[in-house]
Amino acid sequence: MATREAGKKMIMLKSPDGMEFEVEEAVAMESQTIRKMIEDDCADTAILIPNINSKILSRVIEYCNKHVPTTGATGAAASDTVAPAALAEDLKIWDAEFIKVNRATRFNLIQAASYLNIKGLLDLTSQTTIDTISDNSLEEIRSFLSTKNDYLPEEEQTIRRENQWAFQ
Amino acid sequence: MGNFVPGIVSRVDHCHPRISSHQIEPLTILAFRAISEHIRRCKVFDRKLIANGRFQLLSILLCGVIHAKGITWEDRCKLCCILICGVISDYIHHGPIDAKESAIDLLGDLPEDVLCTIFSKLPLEEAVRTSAVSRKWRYLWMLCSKLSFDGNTVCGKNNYEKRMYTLMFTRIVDRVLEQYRGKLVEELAIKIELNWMLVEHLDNWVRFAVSSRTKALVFDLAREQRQPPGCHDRYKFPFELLDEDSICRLQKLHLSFVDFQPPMHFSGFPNLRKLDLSIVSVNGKDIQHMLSNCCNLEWLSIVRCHLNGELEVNGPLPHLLYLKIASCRLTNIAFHAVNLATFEYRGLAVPIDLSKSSELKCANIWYYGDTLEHTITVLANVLINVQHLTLDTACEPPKIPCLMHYRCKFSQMTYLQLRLVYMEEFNILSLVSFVRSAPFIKKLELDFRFPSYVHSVQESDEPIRKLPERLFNNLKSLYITGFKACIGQVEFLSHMVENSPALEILSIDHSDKYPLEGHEQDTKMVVDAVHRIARRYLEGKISSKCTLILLQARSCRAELLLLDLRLFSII
Repeated sequence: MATREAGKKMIMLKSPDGMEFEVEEAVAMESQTIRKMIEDDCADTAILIPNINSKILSRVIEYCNKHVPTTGATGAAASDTVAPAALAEDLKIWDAEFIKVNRATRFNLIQAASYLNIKGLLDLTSQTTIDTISDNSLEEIRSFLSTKNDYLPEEEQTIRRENQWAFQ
Repeated sequence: MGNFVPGIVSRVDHCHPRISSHQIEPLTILAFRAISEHIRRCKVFDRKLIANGRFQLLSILLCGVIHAKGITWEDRCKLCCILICGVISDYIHHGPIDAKESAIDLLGDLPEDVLCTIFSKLPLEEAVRTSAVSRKWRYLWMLCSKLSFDGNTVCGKNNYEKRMYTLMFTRIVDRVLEQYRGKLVEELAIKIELNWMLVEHLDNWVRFAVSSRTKALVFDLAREQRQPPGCHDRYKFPFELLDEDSICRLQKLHLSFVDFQPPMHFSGFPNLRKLDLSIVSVNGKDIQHMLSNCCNLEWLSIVRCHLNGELEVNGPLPHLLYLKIASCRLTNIAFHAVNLATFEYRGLAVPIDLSKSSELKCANIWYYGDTLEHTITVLANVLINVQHLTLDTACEPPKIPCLMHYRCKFSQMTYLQLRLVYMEEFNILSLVSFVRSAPFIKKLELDFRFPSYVHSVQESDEPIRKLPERLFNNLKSLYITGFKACIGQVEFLSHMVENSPALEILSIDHSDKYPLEGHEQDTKMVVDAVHRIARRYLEGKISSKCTLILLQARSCRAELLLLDLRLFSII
């Protein structure tokens, strides 16, 4: 239910496993998908977020809470005393801590960030994947992705030959 | 062995009720042991997978062992072998399953647009490499819609002869583009030093961009080193290959070492957001006309394009946020850009008209061939609302008296960076007048650089000049680099400190912020002397709220930050 509390509009988010999360509208609007729902007035009652279980959803909300721009009554104090650069530095450290999760959670977060369209979170979560792919050997990439090599040796040779330059 | 097999057996029992333990006979146990050893060696338990081929080899070995032991091939045994192979195969295939992490390929199952984002952030060769991960990943890399080919990475560090290098490069690009035929390609970027062999290919790649509905085109054909003078053979941009649609589609264009001659009556790129021209031969009239018609432009940089004339863009560019013009031999600059936020200029002191840009907040100017006082007077009229100004002055040293009164005001300026490169000492104290024209300044950075030696103040108290008091009430931080403790610097420093009651950070760095190559660093003794002088003149002037940071030479800086954090402050 959208309720009013101390001047702040609250939004109820529901995960498919039945958990409910009450968050500030501004926090929920970090997600472009939810923003659109709110703007189109489809958010009178609780918004059901399909495909994202409560564990992941709570982490996403945690992220949005941290990243919602600190303006208005609550944020004024913070942004006055702390320089923007320092604030950004703080967020970076927080992000680095936030992303220390196991792979399955990380992939779930990528999926959630993509569905909810939260650019910052998507960038953050996919960066590790990008780094892993750029820095490691094929074998390591496979183990990171929990995928196995199902090529026959000769097939793999052909693929390597096709774009040989990339395998040097 | 004994401790291992029961584990397997129980697992077998658990997973495959069709095999019961009494069927596992001594010899098959032996085979089990061989396999288990192998599995252990191959670190399956460290979650690495055994390649399929190796497993097949193993099964053959297993059969071989059984055979060698002279077992009669009765059906039951054969069946047993097959079953065991099946169990182990299953086991290897699924790997040791971590209870928390399931073994499915999570990334490969992400929606296409997410994969596309991920692939587009990878360097192309890394994306291509993933095609060998597994069958599922065979073509996933082609979700990458930004194709960027850089001669240095594509051809590797091999020292090919130039002809060979070009041949390799074109072959690789053509091969990838061939695989992309018929797909949409968001961005095509080519970076390689131009030579005549490339021209035909470049034309083809433009054709490809047109047919793949590319929105961003980058042709960076400049040499890594500076072009030798008189080198004018640039790639002629093939306007004739662009059709109406592709002209409308283009959002980003970055050209370097290109001859850019739009056809008669060319009416600009209506949706172009970002234009970057560097070392491009272009006619002044053409570019003025073209830019006037690129009304969606947000970002524009024109560097080392010798226009030899004026650059007056009369058509409004309401979306332009960033403008950079450097080394273009201009006589006059005028833009009509109401939302311009950042302006960078490097070049001769020529008239600049940005009077419509009331939002201009940030400017970085390198204005040479003029006196500092004139530069400041001119800029104050151009940069009325600027908040952050970086000014490089390679111009004539100021000859102004200590207290020239600037009538102009930078009433919005809060952050000023001054880079002062002068052959010899000048009347540094006169800079106070300049700072006074920015009464609300919060942060001031001065980077001095004297290519030749300057005398520092003598250790015995040398009298310094003083100016009448005028407070900078908002000034919180003052950074000085290249502080050699010459008389002018000391005078300036002590005046600023005395007149800045709100100062919180004062940082004095002896070394240059932009050191010249081959310049030797001063010895610790010299640095210490400079610090001593600074301390002596600041004594009693600096407030207890202010932190004073005296930095050492660059090489010992890291050490200093760790050890010498007793930031000394004088009360």
